[in-house]
Amino acid sequence: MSVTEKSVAILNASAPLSNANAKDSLDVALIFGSYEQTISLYFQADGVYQLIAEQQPELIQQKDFLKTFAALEFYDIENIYVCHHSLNQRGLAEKFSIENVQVLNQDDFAISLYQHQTILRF
Amino acid sequence: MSMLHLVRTSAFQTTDFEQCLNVIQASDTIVLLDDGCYNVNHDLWQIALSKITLSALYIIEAHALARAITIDKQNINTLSLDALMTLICETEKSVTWQ
Repeated sequence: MSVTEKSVAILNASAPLSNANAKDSLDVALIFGSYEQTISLYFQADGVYQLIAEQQPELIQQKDFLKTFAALEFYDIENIYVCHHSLNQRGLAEKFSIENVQVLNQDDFAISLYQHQTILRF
Repeated sequence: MSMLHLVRTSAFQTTDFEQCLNVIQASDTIVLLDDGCYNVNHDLWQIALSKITLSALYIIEAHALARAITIDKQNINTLSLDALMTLICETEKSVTWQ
């Protein structure tokens, strides 16, 4: 009997600072990374705010968990995709806190996401 | 009697801010806080500017800066959390959109 590996994607759709979704999602990604399981990260809708540079959560007495995004490359998490339409809607420039982010148009974003068997949405 | 509107959610995610603008009156005050700060860059903000005088439109400065939101003084005024407390205490009626 062969074991088929399922590919997993995380779809991030929440802004980072008002609830725990973004932090929970990042924790899950790092756990997958720790066990050398391939995982891809997608950022859509208000989720795109998570990657924007120069945020200062300490101003509202929050721990800066966004810094942890910089650790993704050390866990070999390199498939990071952002929806261009969502950036555009929010008037955001492609100025991210990490490198290796791929901005995809809406169709390519969907095609890429659909290549995964399991999608975890936060 | 004017109303203080405290907007705490992103208009890109929910219709709370849109609902707020549907009932708002010219003498009211709007304060953007938490994820509501993102609304200053939403198309709906132009509607807020058309309905309310600029001097009654506020954003909590720390909440905006924490989110790397650039504040354009031609669109909105900044407010500290202390000043928000004063504003709430001075206002007879308020509604929180969340």
